Amino acid sequence: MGFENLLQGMSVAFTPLNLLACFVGVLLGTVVGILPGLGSPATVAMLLPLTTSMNPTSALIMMTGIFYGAKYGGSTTSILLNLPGEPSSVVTCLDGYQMARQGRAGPALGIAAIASFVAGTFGVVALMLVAPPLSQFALRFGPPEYFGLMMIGLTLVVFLGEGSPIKSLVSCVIGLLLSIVGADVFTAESRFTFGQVELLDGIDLIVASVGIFAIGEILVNIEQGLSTTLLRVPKGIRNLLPSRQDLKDCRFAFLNGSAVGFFAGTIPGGGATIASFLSYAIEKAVSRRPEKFGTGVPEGVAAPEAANNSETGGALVPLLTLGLPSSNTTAILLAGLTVWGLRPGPLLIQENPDLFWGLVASMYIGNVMLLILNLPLVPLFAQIMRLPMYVMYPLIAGISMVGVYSVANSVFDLWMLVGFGILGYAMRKLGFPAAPLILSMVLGRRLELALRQSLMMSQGVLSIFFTRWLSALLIATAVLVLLIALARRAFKR
Amino acid sequence: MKRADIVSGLVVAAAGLLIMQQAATLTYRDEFGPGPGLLPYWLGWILFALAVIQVALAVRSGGEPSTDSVSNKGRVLVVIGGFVAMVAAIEAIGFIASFGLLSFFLVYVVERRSLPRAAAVAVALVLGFLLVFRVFLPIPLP
Repeated sequence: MGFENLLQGMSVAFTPLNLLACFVGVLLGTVVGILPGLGSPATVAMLLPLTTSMNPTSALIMMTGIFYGAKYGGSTTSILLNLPGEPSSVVTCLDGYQMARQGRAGPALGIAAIASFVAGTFGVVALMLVAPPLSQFALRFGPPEYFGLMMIGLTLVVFLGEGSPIKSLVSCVIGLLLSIVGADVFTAESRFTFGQVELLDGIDLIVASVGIFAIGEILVNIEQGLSTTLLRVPKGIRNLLPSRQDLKDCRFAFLNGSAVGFFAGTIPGGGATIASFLSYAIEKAVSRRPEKFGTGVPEGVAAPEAANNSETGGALVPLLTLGLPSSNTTAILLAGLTVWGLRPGPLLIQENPDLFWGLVASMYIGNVMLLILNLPLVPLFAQIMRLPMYVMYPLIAGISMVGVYSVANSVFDLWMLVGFGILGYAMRKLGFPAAPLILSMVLGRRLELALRQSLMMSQGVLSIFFTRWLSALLIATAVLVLLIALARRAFKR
Repeated sequence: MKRADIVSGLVVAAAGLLIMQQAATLTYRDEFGPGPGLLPYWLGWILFALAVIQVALAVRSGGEPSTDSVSNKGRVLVVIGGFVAMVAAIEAIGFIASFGLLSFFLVYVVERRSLPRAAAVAVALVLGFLLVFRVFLPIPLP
């Protein structure tokens, strides 16, 4: 494994057909990433039947292009409209939208594009270098270890919330409760569905996050009477791109996001959403100005954007080395590998070196394509902020509704959207932070699954979490993180 | 915020009790291990306890009176009414027509712009949506 293999991959990726497949993939990915609801899993699933006649390498290059291209596009509406295009872009709303409100939409979009490029490239390099050993490590994760991992995720609530820690915890518990709505995974017993068949599948994260952030934002702005205010957009291309100081401020965030995202991607169930929350929390914890987070700091955009892009490289590790999917999109890609006549598993790379190294090389090329596609569009997208707010309101409402409807083609989801909009408005007015609610919605189902599987394994004995070294280590880390966070808060007072 | 914290704390406490009551109807434990009622039952308890702490803290500390005006809250209620009417109308008249009406309503009634301007914004947005979601991206509209 090394430079020769990469050269071999380049010779595969640079054929006209594979270059075209890569370009079509990243372009489609960017477009679907912008629209909330229609994420990469749906697009890859829709296009899979069309690739059966393609050669496996080109098909995989195109489908993977959609996967990482969607991560690029997801940040655009988060920054401009407070409307997360992908669940993993929810965190980008926190600082990205505030930057846009301050007339810095261009730099925010530029930082998102650069972070995506840096992290995407980091993810590919890491995929190339550490795929096999990391995949063996990820295999050590059983239910108790997942539970420990989810506990670490939940302790992030303390870092994410501003103001009252009690209100952060209330948001967190409400998120956990929302995550368990629907049919129970073990017994199919319906929980908190109140007779609504549409709720049996649970509450989709995109419906909740678009409602709370986008619709909630419309209601708050209307109450504050921002209707006549045009948001500032500075003139001149130089003012529309990140400054040298912005990039300097983001140095650690690029690195932190890239590393956290890749690691989270390698663990089945880790996912880009968790990675983006985790990197944001780490960035805030180590920052010299944590109190500024949420008010529009570039690091608050760079860290989550880097994490959700680097996660793509990480997610391909268990898929290509073990044949294990770690997310919805990689599960569909796994189906694709079978459809294209390949045998996913530990021998995939050995038996198909052209496919693996061609894919790795195409991801380098795809990341460059995405940067070239996205950076010139920054000034164009930033002009959206010039629209008067009375045009923005129906525009945001319309995009939110189309996006949410596209999740399951259900009008019921639109009712939920309005409901979550009202909840988001009430939370903002009453000082309950929204980020802990969304984070715990992401973690809730997996946390419960891990908890119950572990207790089934041990026949109800709690010591299973402490007798396995990795699980004990993870839970101890969660407790330590929580204590440090609480001590820091108490010390500040 | 003091009064708002007390009221919201009481609402959350009531929600916690309701969740506990609902969770009590679910299986808490079965022959294989913990059942579907385990987590919601304890989450209901935690929610209730947190809400009680919030109310106690709000009662103990002083707070600043709310500065929100009644008329602004009225605007929010009108907009919520607009969203509800739009979703209700979708199944009868389709997304495009109800979205056009919502746009007109938001610009003319809520934002109090002139009638021609409101109509122009509504028509422009509808045409834009048709172009993007029907022509460029064949996405099913509600």
